[in-house]
Amino acid sequence: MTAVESPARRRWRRLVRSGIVGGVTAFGLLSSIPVASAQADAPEQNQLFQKMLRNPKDLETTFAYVKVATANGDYEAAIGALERILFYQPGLARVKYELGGLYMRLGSYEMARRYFREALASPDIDPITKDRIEASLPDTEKQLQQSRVSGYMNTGIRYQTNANYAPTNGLVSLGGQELALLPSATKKSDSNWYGIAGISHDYDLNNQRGDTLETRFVGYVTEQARFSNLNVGLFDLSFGPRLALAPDLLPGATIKPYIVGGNTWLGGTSYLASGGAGISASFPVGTRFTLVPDFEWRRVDVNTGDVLPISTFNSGDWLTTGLGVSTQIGQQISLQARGSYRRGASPLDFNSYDQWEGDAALTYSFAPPFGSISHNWSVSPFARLIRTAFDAANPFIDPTTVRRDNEWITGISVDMPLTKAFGISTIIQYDHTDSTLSNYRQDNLSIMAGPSARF
Amino acid sequence: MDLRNHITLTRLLTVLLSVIAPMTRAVAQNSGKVAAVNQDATGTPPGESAHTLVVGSGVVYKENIKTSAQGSTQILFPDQSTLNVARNSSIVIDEYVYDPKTGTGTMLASLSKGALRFVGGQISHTSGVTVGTPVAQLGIRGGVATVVFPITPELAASDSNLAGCSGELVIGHVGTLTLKNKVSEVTIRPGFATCASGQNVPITAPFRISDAVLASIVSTMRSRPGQSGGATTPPAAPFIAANGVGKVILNNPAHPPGADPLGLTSIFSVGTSLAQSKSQSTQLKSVVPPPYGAH
Repeated sequence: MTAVESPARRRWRRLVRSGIVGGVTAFGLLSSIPVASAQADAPEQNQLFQKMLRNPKDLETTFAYVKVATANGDYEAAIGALERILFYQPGLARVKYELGGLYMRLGSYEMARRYFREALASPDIDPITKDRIEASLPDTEKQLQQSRVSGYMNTGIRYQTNANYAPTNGLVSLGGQELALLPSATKKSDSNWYGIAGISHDYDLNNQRGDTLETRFVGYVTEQARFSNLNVGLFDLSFGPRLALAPDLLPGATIKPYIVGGNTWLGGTSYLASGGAGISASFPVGTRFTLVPDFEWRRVDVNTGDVLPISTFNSGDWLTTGLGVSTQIGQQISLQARGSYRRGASPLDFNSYDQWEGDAALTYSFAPPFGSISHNWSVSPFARLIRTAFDAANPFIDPTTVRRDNEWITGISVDMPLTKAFGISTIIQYDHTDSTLSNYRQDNLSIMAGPSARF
Repeated sequence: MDLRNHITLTRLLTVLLSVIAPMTRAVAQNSGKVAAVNQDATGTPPGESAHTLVVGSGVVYKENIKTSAQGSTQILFPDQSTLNVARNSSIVIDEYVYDPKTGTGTMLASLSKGALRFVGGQISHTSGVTVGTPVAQLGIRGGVATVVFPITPELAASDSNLAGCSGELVIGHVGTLTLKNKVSEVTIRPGFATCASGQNVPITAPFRISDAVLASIVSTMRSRPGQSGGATTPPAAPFIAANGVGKVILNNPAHPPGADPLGLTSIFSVGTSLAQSKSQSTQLKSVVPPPYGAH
């Protein structure tokens, strides 16, 4: 006799299997990359080092070595060489600033602060270096505090070509029939004001493992010019300890169990409330590569206000597992990527779904065109693919067609700090969704621009 | 001694020499080199008399490096690590073995007086470096550390955390440090320091190092006015600028939600997906009614 497994149990098994496969893959990646800084083996750095070892006073070779070692992420090698330069000439403000920056990138904020202060006290300091130090010194000092609050805020105007997310062909399925939308409901553009706030608080437990208590808050508010029923207000709050996993065996590796909750309002009415718990980890590999696997469960309560269950989401459980990667490809280029799987389990099969998502952003940072600006500007092309497959056809929409969506989002984000605290942020993105149901086939071009602030 | 014994002894000596000779060469290849020096600084190899250190001098196994009240030096090692030796210091490189092919090796140093800062290279990343003082042994893994012995009364007075400390001060800058003596063992994370007053005195709980203490120590590892670390032509500021030093713009190490491009676009996406869900269900109430009789 063969035991029959319930669909819910099958999905659980699938999720657990995904988690195990993700974990094993992450561990395999970790194991395959040597913990030691492989960059120090770079032939060019070694050649320059041998030349420098033969004649340590050869300044041109020393600076070439510093440049290559820094580009390779071997900051300690660059520090050793630059500290030697200070033996030869102790008053060089630029060298002290560079040393402060190298220590800062290694997380040695007390040494970074020392060198920044020494550079500021150097009589030969030039105005640009002084501005850059005055911009970075407070960031460094904040990292030395036990209780640290940081924030990012962005406000501005968003314009969308399809602000009411209407289907491209103006047709929707309802009860199995394809019907035309009324002209008032077809694709319309709109603009809205938006505000975003991201706040982080870290409380250092001051133990020698480096454990901290982390609180994260995200808030987002929009005010539409035309579709006020689509005004959004949401917040999400999480709290948990970030604990060192094994400081001796895996330096820098951390694990963070957390609780999370939030609420979303649409058109002034509470639409979705959620609460749950999760666990995430962070595994730095070398000086420039970090893996972030995570798992989260949320109980979701959706108040659609609909008489019939025709909305995409409904109350249930969201189980999400993912693997994030961030890497510094070069001095100026970094990559962030994340792949995730979510099981949205609702009492109704046609509101239950499997969702796979892949995101990536490549960030190119560069010096701004004006020397007076002491923070990098950046350009980040990004792409996101979200594939959603529902368990069953919604009989109220189309009893014969199971909804399957593929949503592509591509765009570019530009961040231009103008002062230490304020800047301009712009995003241009294009969304395109293919679906087995015409209701959800849509495209939308968005432009978001406005001032941003950091502290 | 008969002929047979003589032959055996000769063979044995040949084998021993064939083993020892490459080892001696390996040690010599692996020794450090003086990369900067302010006088007076001397080196005393085992069984030899003291000689003045100059830039380019080799530092051999068991050599005692001493600096005067005006002297300081930087020693560069083949694994790309460096050792900055402060004024009024005395150190010995007890062991240094490095295999460049595997990037592994061992380094043992002793500080009997003064201060040093070790900036790690390949050895500290793969195996570990040990710095000993008369009161404790410091293990350095993957990092940068400052060691002072003994703690002077002036230094102790500069930070209340050092009150009562008279022996070794260890400051962690990068990586994992472990300080142990006969009765205790303490791990030190970056930005923290601890002191060991004796082999049989428990090591104090680590504390955040103050900038005043760091400033005091860093100043002892720096050239004084009129000193140039042995450089015949000290680098000038324009030369430094021309070589691209100090051009970097540093990014804020704090990462609040939304500060990164994926985080920011994710916030927009969450809001958009919920508004989209609501709008798409609302649209179903705004359709052209089907013709009468249609299915």
